[in-house]
Amino acid sequence: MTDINKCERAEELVSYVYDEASAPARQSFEQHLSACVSCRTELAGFGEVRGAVRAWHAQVLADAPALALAAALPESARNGQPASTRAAFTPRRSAWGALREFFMLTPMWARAGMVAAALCVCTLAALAIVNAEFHWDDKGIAFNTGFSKQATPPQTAPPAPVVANAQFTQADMNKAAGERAAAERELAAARARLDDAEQQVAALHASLTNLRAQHQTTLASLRTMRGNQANARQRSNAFGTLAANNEPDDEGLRLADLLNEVSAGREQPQVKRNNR
Amino acid sequence: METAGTSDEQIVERALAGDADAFGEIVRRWERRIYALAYGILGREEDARDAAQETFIAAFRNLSGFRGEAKVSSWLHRIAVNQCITRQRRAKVRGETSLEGAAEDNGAQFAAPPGESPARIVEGLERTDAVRRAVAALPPDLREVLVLKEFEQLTFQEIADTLAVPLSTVKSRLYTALKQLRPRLEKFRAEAAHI
Repeated sequence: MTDINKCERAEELVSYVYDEASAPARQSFEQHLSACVSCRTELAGFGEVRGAVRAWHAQVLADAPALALAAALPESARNGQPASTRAAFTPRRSAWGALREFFMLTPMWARAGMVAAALCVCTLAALAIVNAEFHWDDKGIAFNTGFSKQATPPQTAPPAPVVANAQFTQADMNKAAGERAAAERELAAARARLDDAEQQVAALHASLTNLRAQHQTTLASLRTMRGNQANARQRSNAFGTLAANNEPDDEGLRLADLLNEVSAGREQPQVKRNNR
Repeated sequence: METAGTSDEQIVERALAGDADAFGEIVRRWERRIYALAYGILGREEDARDAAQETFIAAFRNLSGFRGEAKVSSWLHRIAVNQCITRQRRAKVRGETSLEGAAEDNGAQFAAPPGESPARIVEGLERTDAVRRAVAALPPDLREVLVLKEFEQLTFQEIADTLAVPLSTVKSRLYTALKQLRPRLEKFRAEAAHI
């Protein structure tokens, strides 16, 4: 409600009435009061109201009943127990009681909101349990549940012409079934050929592995033979060098001569030591 | 026990130290004023008595949380106002009769002062009842500010702190309360005069 007679400084009246205006503000407002009839009238009215309220307050104070706080205060407060033991008299409420009181204290709109939220949660939970699905396309809204899916056997995709055109005869259906059977047979034969080919590939792979192993073995034996030949050549060269001074063409004789020389070489120093 | 010259804060310190009688002294000092405050806000004796009791019980439970940063009076006012607001909300949710419509007859509870003539007693009761009804007819937020100012003589800032509202809101509500109270008071007085 708008008061058309209200002075623009009317709310300053409150600070003035309760003596909470600063000294300059008070002085300024007093000057305003001398010129503003509206504020003067309001000031007088406020004074009457305040007087009536104070009288009522005095009456209430005078007739204040005994509060019986001795009974209401906790037992430990009257038995001299220290303040630290106060938790003992905290009233215990059940969780259900507290929830109920909270619900009772909640405004109606909040209660309605909570009920709506609970219903939404329950609905969503139920839809999740039944595995519900919504589809929305040109044909409209479709709703399916997991139960209906289980009731109907799983369907393979129908042939495209059937979907595109529903005007088919029994002969067309038989022909399509025959074609499908032939295709399945071809598919089975192709699978069999594929299995055979895979087996052949596996056999070839195994033989190739064997050949590789044999090849490696042959290479190893060749390396061994070459090594032996090289050693034999080195030994023959060494003997050849020693026998070259005598008869290079007769290795048997050169070897015998060499042995004789060695044995002679061993005996000669002993003769010298004996002579000494 | 000598408590007359002891401040509320000192008594609370004693209570915190384990002196159980100290809190009783706080109750004795403040019970009438807290009751009157609750009565001014709630407008019904039974509700005011319950709110006052709950105020002191809550204060006792939270005594360890009192750090002495605020005055004991401000602390008790805050608890009492919160108790009243909670009770008002409960009453509103439960759809209980509003204060304005409560035809509670408190006349029999006022004791007649000795030496008063019956006519003056009746006149006084009619006046106070008219004020009670006029204050009860105010919206709760206006009523709280008015009662804290007129009953407890709190400053605007103390009321703002107690109600956790801006200072300007306190002034505005107080102005509106006084403004609305005046015609209602006249109306209820006129009704009382015709009965």
